[in-house]
Amino acid sequence: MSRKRKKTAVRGLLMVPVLFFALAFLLLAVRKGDWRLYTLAAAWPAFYLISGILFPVLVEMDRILLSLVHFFSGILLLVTALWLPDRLLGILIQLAAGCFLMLFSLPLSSSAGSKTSFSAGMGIPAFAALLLPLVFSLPVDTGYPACVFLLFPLCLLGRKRQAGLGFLLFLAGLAPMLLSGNWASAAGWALTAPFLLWISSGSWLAGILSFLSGAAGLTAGALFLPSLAVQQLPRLSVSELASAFSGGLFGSGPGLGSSLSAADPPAVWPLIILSEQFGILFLCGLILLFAFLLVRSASGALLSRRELPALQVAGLVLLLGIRALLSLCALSGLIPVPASGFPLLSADPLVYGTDLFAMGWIAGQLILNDRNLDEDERLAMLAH
Amino acid sequence: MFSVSRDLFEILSLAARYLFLLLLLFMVLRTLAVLITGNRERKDRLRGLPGAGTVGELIVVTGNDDFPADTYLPVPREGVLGAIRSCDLVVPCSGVRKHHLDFSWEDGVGLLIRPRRGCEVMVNQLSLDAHSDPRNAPLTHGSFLTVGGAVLRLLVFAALAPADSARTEMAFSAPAPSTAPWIPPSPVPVPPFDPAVSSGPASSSAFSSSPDPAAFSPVAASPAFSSSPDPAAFSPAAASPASPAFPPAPAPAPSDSPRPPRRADRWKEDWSE
Repeated sequence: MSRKRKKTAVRGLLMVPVLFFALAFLLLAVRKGDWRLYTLAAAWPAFYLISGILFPVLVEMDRILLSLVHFFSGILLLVTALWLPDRLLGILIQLAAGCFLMLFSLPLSSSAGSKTSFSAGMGIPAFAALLLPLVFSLPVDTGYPACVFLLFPLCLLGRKRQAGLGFLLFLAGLAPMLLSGNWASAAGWALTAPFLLWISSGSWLAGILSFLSGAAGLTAGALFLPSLAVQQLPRLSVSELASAFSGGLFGSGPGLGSSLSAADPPAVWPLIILSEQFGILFLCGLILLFAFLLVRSASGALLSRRELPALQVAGLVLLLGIRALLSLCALSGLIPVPASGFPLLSADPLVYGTDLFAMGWIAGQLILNDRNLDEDERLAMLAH
Repeated sequence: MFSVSRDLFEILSLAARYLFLLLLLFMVLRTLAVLITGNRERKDRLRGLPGAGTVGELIVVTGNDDFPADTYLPVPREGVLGAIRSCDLVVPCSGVRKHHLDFSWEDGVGLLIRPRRGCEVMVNQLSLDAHSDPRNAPLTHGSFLTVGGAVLRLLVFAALAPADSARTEMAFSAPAPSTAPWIPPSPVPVPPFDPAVSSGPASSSAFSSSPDPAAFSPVAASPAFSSSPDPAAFSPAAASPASPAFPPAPAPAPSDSPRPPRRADRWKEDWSE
């Protein structure tokens, strides 16, 4: 594609969401004359446009990744405005904090991601991640952040071919999640960690043992530990499932109707609102965009020249993908799994912050890959 | 602030759901287009950089029938060397295990070799095993690596070779100038052109020069080598006197024309392992 056509394509990627959000917030604003929504109709598209232009220039962030992350953040803001407008300020603060975390993890990934030595920077988050799921009193999901932070020492142990220690770390991470009743995170960890351990250490035995232990732990936990679970994520009720599909293919219309109870919304309430008011086709389009995001992120792992950053990115992509799959399974009611929030569409601040941290880490690796290629071109030019 | 009636809002909302769907579809298509284009551009860039992602090449000094001398293996920044084809560097020789060693490049130091448990290698006559410190014997430009029955020599791209090791090891030494008087070659008689003989495409090859295989040698094509290599320079006799004795390189047969080097990372798909 010529440079002009490429610029047009990238511009389209930026301008279309700007138009989308401007119209969406304006439509909601004229419903009740809410000044907050009029402000959002101007502010969010402006932020989208400015960040879409500035971030790739200032921090070399990948345009597609940035555009998609901000699009999903805007969707979260939109569904909050649709259904829970009183929580708008909280969500805005959450988005700002997430953006900050993403920008924080970006240079961290580029510079420190390939360090192969154990340090306090690795140990403290890992230790905290082991303890997090056991803090029962927090009204947030602590399992997923624990998975993400345990991923880094697991990859490092695998890279150093310490399969035994990696297996122990896997068990140490799984146990608190099961005890706290965080089945969705435990399932994600039980599926991601054995695969990573096998790939990084090359040990079939460690991978298979981990997978079997995870499966056994999940089964035993479901059968024998429900009474101990404090943070059990509820499954979707029949009425919640019905409201998700009541809008049909094209939806009932933004701002029209919501049979979902606001008293105790499930973790996947953004998906339910989107499906009900914008339609199933719209939801499918969003899922497709998320799939593109995962593909772009996976390229960061495939094109990495170092094994450790590749493992880290692959693990993050796997975790995000498994979480998305579990959310969709819960939403469809096909498989009776506890409903966890869809990645990047979670109203849980800890989970959302972890998602953006992961996105920043992935973006940092994409930047590193591009810099490596530029360096090779420069060396080739010097040689000639 | 300004608001509309419920009926009007209902009409607007019902119409807007199609508009939003259309905008989302447009965004999906644009994203796909940018992804595909970016992928294509990257492939084009990589095509123009044959050495991208690699730090140099390992040249086979001693191998076997499946792994003959002068074969070269592009060396990535890190990976695994072993006998099976899923390894980054495949050395199908006797005495080489499935996953024999791990290697990683460190700028300013060289290629660090970490043999796996139960495996041994030799770097410039220094033995390394799983418990050895790889920094004691990094593989640098011109160093020899003995793995099982194979002897390999590392050639690092000039821009990556540490300043002290590349210049002192004299891995690429220019051939010594000849002292004998130069005798001009006798002119070869050219047969007269016979139109009756030259017919068809076969005879047209007489007017086209066949490509010189040496011109496509990976060493010559590598973008950043400091000088074209001299096969004689790979022999231990070309090494500096201070360096330890290296295993002798096989002497080329005088009557054979030099074989073009073979790249040893293009295997036929074989899932038998």
